[in-house]
Amino acid sequence: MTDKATALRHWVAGLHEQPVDIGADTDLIRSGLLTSLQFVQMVIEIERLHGRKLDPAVITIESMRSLNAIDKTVFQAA
Amino acid sequence: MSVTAEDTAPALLAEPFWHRRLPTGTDVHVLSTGLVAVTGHAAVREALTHPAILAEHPLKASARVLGPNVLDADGPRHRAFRTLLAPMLAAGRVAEYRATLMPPLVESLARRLAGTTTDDFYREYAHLVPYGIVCRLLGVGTGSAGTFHRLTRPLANLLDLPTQETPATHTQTAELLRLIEKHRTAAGAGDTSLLATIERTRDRKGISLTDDEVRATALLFFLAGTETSSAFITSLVYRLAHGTIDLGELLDPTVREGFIDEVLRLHPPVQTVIRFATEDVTVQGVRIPRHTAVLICLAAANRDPRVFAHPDRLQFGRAERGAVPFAAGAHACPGAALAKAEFSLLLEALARRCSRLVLLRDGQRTTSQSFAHPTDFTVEFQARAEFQARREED
Repeated sequence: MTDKATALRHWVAGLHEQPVDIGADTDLIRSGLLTSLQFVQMVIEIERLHGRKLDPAVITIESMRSLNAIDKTVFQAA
Repeated sequence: MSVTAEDTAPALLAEPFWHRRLPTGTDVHVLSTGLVAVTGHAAVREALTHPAILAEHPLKASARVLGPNVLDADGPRHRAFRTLLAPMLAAGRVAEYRATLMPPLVESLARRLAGTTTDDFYREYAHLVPYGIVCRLLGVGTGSAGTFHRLTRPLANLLDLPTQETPATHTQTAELLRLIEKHRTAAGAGDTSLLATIERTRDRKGISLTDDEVRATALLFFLAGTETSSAFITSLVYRLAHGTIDLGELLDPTVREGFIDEVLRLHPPVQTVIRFATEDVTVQGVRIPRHTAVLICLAAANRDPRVFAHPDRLQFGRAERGAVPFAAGAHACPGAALAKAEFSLLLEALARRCSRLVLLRDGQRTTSQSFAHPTDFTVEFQARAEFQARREED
């Protein structure tokens, strides 16, 4: 995973009072790591880490489902 | 008490009147990065009609679980969804429902209630008329109302704030969509039900929506028509039980309308709606960055003291206008006239059968942001003497 994906993992972990296990392929919603509202808020954090505007076509459930998916479709994409 | 850094959005939204905890002096509140609340009347109207603050967001729970649907679309796609529903909600159709479909259902409920005491009006009675009406409109028959009620009520959590999404939500959604599909494919040519009308409208107007989108829209029509009405009927009963009006006065249609409007202002079933900034915008001069989730509080707008004198007081026949119980803008509730006809008939039936409603216990609790209603109260429906005698004979 890229440093940006690792930073995003820290952001998700920071939403919890207790330590949480966040695998690269963990489903961020179904695992309960993020609430529905936090899932939406995560887009802003991804954009901040990415350093540029996200293409709206990238903001889909499949590309945002896990850290790995985000890493591939956003951070590692050209 | 005001909002602190330790507050989280779910904890805040779990409070029925969360907007009262926000600081005064502004109507646009930055709760955290990516989350803004809009509260004042002018700010709420501005946000609801802002061209860059939209309902659509691909990661929103309802969009993810239901797929594309009327609630989560904007622009031409949203208009296409609304066009499908429009024939069922036209004034002529509502008048027809009011004359034929609704009376037996409201009479049946009023007859059951007269002389009854209940600790849980919402769970036992509030759904009977809305589910009866919407099942008939949908074309699934009132015999299916119990099944739909069992499956739909938990599903409402998906549209609520804070949202509750569980494996059961997905299972129940799939089951409801399967039931809708079963009835959709069985709808006949001369059928006037919602499902049949949707199909005809889609063909006639050449609307290019998929079967999945049609099913999801029918499900949302069902959810909105049943759960919001059940919630509001509970609020009406709660207010009547406070003795705020002599029931006999409600036999006058003008008084009924004023009473309903005022209870809608004070107790809108949808207290808060969520929208998303698609670009950097300003509302009332406050910058809202793009991708921000915007919590628009209809309940706060309806109690804005700059618009409504003594805003917490129930005062029917108010001169002030502009309450937004059904929201505003492109996503304003298309079923408002249908819902108000239902409430009016129910109040009339109650006024004819009951002399008064008595609040025997009041826990003073309200629950939910999307289907808000008072809870934890006991109400007695005192029957008028002639109906009491008839009940005893029965």
